[in-house]
Amino acid sequence: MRVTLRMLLLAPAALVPACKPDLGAPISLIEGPRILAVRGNPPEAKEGVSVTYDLLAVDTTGTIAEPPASWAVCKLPRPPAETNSVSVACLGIADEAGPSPTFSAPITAADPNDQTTTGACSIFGPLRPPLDPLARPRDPDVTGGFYQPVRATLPGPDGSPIRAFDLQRIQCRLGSAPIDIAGQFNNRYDPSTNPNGYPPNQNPLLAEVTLAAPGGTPDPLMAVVSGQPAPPPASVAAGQRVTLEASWSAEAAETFPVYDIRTVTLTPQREALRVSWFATAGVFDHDVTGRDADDPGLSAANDWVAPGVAGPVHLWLVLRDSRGGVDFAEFALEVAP
Amino acid sequence: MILALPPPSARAQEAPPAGEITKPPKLIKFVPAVYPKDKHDAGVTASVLLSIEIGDDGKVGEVEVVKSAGPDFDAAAVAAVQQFLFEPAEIDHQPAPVKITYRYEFTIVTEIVAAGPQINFDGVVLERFKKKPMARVKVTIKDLGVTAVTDEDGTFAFNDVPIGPHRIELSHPKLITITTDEVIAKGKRRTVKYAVEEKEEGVDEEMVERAARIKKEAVETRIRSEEARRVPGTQGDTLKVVQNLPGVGRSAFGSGALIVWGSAPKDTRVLVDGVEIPALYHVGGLRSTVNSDLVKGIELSPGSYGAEYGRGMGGLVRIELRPRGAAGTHGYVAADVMDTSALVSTTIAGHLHLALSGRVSYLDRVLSAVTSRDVGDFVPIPRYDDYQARATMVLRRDEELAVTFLASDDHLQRTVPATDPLQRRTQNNDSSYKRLFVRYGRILSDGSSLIVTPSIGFDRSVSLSRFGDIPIDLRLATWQYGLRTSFRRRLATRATLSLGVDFQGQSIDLERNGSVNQPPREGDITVFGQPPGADTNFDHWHVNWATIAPYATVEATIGSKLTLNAGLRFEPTLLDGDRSLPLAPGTVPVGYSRLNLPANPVGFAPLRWAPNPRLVAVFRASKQLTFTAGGGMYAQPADPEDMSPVFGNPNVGMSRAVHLSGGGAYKLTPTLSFETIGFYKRFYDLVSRSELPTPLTSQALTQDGVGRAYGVQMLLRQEVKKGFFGWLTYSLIRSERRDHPDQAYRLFDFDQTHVFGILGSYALGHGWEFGGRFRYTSGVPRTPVIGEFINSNTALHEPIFGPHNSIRIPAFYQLDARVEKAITMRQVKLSLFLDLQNLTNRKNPEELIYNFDFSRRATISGLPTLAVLGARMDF
Repeated sequence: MRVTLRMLLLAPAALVPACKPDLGAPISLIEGPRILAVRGNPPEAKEGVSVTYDLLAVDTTGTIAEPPASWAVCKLPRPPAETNSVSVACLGIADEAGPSPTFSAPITAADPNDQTTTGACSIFGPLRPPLDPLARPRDPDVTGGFYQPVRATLPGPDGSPIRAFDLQRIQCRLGSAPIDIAGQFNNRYDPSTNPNGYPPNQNPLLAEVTLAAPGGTPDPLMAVVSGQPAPPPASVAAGQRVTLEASWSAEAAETFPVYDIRTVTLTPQREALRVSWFATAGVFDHDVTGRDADDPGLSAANDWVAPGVAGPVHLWLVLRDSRGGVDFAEFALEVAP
Repeated sequence: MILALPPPSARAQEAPPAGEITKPPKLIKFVPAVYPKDKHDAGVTASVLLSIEIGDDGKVGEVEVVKSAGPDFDAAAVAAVQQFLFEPAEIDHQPAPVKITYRYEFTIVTEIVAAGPQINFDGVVLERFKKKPMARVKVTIKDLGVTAVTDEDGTFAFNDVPIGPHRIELSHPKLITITTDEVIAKGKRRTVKYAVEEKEEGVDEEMVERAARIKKEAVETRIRSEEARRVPGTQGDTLKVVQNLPGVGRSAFGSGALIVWGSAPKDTRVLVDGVEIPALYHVGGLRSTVNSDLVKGIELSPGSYGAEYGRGMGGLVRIELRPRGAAGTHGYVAADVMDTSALVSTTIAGHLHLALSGRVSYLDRVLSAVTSRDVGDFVPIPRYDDYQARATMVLRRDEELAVTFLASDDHLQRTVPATDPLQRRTQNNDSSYKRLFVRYGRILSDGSSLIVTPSIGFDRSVSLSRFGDIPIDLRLATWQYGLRTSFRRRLATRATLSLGVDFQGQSIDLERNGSVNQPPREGDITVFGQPPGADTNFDHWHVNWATIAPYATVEATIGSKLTLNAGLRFEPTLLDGDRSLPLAPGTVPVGYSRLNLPANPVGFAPLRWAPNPRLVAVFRASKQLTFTAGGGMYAQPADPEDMSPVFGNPNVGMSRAVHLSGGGAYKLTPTLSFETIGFYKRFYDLVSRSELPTPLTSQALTQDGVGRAYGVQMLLRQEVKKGFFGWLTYSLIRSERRDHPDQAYRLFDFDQTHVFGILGSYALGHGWEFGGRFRYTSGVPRTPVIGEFINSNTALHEPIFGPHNSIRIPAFYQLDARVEKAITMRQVKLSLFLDLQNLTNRKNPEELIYNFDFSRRATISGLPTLAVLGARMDF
């Protein structure tokens, strides 16, 4: 067997590593107009409650001020045969409003005086439509949530639309659970009946973003705020690797109850938080960084290598929680020669 | 010429004290006595009365002269008679020794005969592979009604066979009766050599050189284990040869799926000695789950197979295990880059043969040491093992018992780390199966055979995946039990009847957690790497099913050219589930039981509930040219995975199919043949996802899909000759599905229009052997992405799809080579082989992949040049 073993040692040398295909620029590099986020406020609401939406639209020159977005609320559920997060039919519905940078609309509610109408919790949620009692209820996501799609559309550079959907979380009752569990769940955000003190879902907030050169002290970056004078950009040397770190408050990762169908219990769960990084130049180590639900960390870092060419660079961060909450901010950098 | 003629008959005189003579001895080999020359010249004739002892083996024992004709006549007669051979007498239907009287007449006859030898047709019958003479094979000239029996040397001879064509039949209890044609020419002696293969009764795999085999399936390709092992690209794995056969599509690297004549992989059944196993290959298709050295042969029937088999709409792969190994203790140890395997077999007390074998893999560790992590991202590399035990016992002559245990395990663990919690992926798959079966075979004295195969097995499959925090979990635990019995009997010279019952049952416990559209099914529109749906649910359900399928087939030869094999199979399925609706608090689970009858999908109403018909017709137009046609109706029980009240539909029933095929085969030389077959398959009652935006409860799946597959396959095959064998295959196939009546037909997810392959292997001598293989296949269909939108909650772009399955992955072609050197040292044979895959290092596209916003498309390539170097030591 000595011959065999020797040959076994030689054989792997003939293997050539497979290559990942080159798919061009990463998602974090802004090369044209894009919608980076659509935000609903509040991020979770009951049927009939009005939600205000805004969006972060950018191009290579920075954030698009007053983006001329068209808006539509989709009331069509996704068939189980489709693999996207929203029904393909939601792409074809007519716009309801716009062009406007913001949009307000109530979450679809049934008309209590009209039995033929259906609320969002029946269309997208755990309840069966009154006129269709045998319908299969929708399944929640892993956070126990149900969502109604809200579409924002911007005109693209070549006339093709740039479309984004905010999946607006709907506050629905439990569809099928023991009465005591359902009671606790349905009153989960009511301080008077909620012994656990679960807070209503809110959009997370970016507390601070810092930039640190290797071995240097992190310096906070000043966000660009629409309608206000632009802060002085932070300076980075061309080709320099710096560490960016976004932080948030402890309240950003909220705890909430999830109904576990296996154990028939309400289980507390904590939000995970993710930071998406975007820039008009340079290269990030990662497009998205974040913290898992069981990770108590309050920040996420990412290294960025400045481009080799001097000039201004726009940097955006989008902070998302696992229940649809969003925050975003723009920062200005100046790449020095 | 002056001849001494024997007397025409003999008479049984004496019998053992007990029992009744049920069959007298029959002289089957006569040896003429040497006529004493002086008496012959003088014209003296004589008659010698002899007493002959005939043993239960038909051989002549003691010979006594009862009435003498003189010493010279007596001696000549005794010497001749001692060389006689008889069909033994039977007492109470059992061969027994007897003593007879026999009168040997010395007469002088003057006859003028034509020039030429008196024996004008003779030959030898050999076992095909070992070249061992086959004794006691009946060689019958059918049109003359005369029979000779081969002696211990396998030889036979006929005197003065009339000039012209004759139909020759070879029969033996261990052979299926086979026929061939011979032409006796004037003044010439026809000497032939027939190579026959010993068989296990009831398996249709006889192969006769110079005699076209009688086919039992309309389309089948059989490969011997010894040949399959030499095919390049299979790394010596006999069962991987199936992927190279006509009608079989190429499975993507890492899948190992069997795509036969446009059928879904799940619709093709794999049977080992008649017992179904869940997987022919380990995960990834790298190895088969059954040790090659236990395998005698493989048969692939891509469709139109007979009534003996069912429960599947696709093809049929039958693996036949070796009945016994060689006497003594033998075995092998082998190792290569992928795994190590070993086998040892021994004979105990002459009639008991034991074999143990096993394999364990380490390819995952080898690859992780020498390749980039990306390989593991795209291609799952499993860890696998399998082990087998087999005991075969000869209970008595023509009666055998074999006990077989098969086991296979696959483990796949993969983690794709990411700084984005949503993109972290883990995959933990464990799958295993075990089978224990007993095969009792008996060949009765009248040549009929009985086979009984009870079996039991346990399958386990656990697939636990996480895409971010989204679970995709599926657990299955299956007990499988079966009993296959078959009885085969010759009704008449030209008709054989097979009767059998094929019982199989399963008890399956299933648990699933995740999205309703995960795991993906055929027909789902998606792109590689797309995250699963965020919606999750959970279900735990239990399904029992059992089918008792009686079947009957009649094989009849009509005239001299047409053979029909007609069968009926009745396959009712009893289904039992624990829940017809999702669990709801405060409610009691309501189960169901129902009987699914094997309704035929087409035909007149009264026939719709009749058993599934199967028919194969073989027309031998000439010695070289054979036409074949076949067809049948097939039914397949519902997949228990589809019967979840939460994720599927507990009411799905049997899916059905109709197969039709026809073609011809032409034998260019005794070992070179060309075969072409056209086929058409129609599928009914296929299960697919509900197209409703809001399906009804427990109806996430519906059963109104149909499909069709049609095409033609060709095979040019050179069997082993002078150390070379090889084949060229081409299949032109189109397979389509329509998921719901209001939809148009679309291409089947695994459709491959062109499948071409050519391979060959040549033994150069001195232990060197070289082989090559080239394959070309069309890429499988994919649905193009024509747009995208952004999901703001996940920050991921999602695709907007164009027409379903309207583009294809680019074509695949690959050149493989194999070099082997065998060194024999006394009792040990050492073989070293190098199996080079993808010799040209072509970046074969295996899948389409898109950038983040679907504006760019690229392909994921399969493995580059892979050198599998291994060694094997046989002892």
